[in-house]
Amino acid sequence: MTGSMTTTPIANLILRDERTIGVQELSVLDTREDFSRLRGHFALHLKSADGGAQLLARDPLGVNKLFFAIKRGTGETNDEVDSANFFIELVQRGHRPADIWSVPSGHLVRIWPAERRLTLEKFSTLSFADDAAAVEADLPRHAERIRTQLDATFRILNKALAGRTVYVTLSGGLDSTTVAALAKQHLDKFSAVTFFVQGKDPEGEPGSDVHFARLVARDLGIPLELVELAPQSLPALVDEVLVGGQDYRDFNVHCGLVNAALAVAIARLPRPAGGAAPVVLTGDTMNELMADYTPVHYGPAEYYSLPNLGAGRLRRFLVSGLDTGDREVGIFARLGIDTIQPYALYPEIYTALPGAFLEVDGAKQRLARLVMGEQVPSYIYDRPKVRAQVGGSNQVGGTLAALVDQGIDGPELERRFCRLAGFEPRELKRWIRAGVYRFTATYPIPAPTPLQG
Amino acid sequence: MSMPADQSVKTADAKDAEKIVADFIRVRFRVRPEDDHFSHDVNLWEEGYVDSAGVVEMIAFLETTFNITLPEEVLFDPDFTYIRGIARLVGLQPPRATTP
Repeated sequence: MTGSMTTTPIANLILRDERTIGVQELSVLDTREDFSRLRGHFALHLKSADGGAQLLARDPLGVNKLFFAIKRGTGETNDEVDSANFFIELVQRGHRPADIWSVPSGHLVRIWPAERRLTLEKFSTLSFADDAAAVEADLPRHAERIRTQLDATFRILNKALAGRTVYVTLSGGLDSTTVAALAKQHLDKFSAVTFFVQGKDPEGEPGSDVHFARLVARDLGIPLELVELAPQSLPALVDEVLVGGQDYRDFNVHCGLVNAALAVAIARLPRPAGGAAPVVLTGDTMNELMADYTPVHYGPAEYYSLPNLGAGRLRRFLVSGLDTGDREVGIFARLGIDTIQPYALYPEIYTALPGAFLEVDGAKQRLARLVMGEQVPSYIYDRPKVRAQVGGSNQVGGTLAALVDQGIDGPELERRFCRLAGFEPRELKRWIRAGVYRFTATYPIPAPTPLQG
Repeated sequence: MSMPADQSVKTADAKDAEKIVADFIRVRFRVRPEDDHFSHDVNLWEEGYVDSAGVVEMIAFLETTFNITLPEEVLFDPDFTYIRGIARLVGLQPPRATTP
């Protein structure tokens, strides 16, 4: 589509045929087939030069968020399409929450405001081998395919990130350590950053994230920045996480808090004068792609409850739930930091894994050993599963414990989110369903009197 | 008044589907037998009968039980909020092609 593009605060990383493409090349994109060749993290709003059609497109996994609302014309003027990465921006521009819609992951929304017409097309269909049997002999072939693609991805990143200040968010878990090892192989220069809650994750205690992050940084030869925060400092970041992460559910908020603390620390670090925004590489989305989630018990309660489905079946829903699961990109972006999730760039290499394979204990570690071999230290393969927001393998700490101990539970997060985004509690239940933000397949005629202020 | 044969079949199917969906929700989400508010027309999400993880379980149940694939569009269809509407949407989906 020839015309102009609305700029968004969240940076776009658009890949086609294993190279990045720039904004100037977007004018050649129009059809569903054109977009089906794209990978990356992007949220685009393209306007045709003749003022007719407008096109909104969002990356296959929905890493970058994209919302729109229709500003009603006066009768003499046509309706206008208003878009933003952040839902709350549209609220601040005077749109009612009920009049704001998401562009679903991997979809194109075409809007003809003069005709009050909208179409919704899916351009990306990810295949999931949910029902495929796990054939032992196939595993090395999957691993080889994954390794080849990861190397190709990091070669692309090597070019795309030349001259940028790069950080790897290192929790000392398998996914982030793999990213660090690949970055060590392919990138020229970068540092690792690790977060820990003061007192809850005593520095260096065996089993804690910071303990393993230190070991990994030492063994891979990577400079490490430790970011320490007192538990009582975390509540002050919660509102920022709710706005930047655009989600009120405790799992994403707890994880988002880790990244908010890292973002604040990175934003304070010296950067080259006049240089581009710093970039963080993260291990996010791997847990969705491998359905590697379990609930966590803290005190008398269970947190992060999951649908009662086997991992092979659950994966598809976890991946489609990335449509709403932002605990990184928006949070870093609000402090001027770009995010790249390497595993999310070519997800098909993981979704081709048989569902039955995911059901086996230690499936991810087994696969990772085949993919990475000795590039990842052996103690990382052997480390029990841990989440960054929990802080360690031996006891539950991290942001989960810090918030719960200070009375900020799930219902409180919902209340805060409603206040910040202008939602009625009942409206909030219409906004996210099965991990997908509310969208429309028909032209949404807005109410005649937009909310003021 | 008699009903055309094909329509009566569809009506019976929809009634069956409604019962199957209602039974699933009652059992899985522990709806109390004495809950007078629970009906085939109650908004399941807004009235708190099914939570966000529960929607996923319900979709998986519907897809398996009725051998269909629910398109994403149904998630925000107004019919996909109450049992009668869900049964109607289920009836509109073609059966999933079987893998040879």
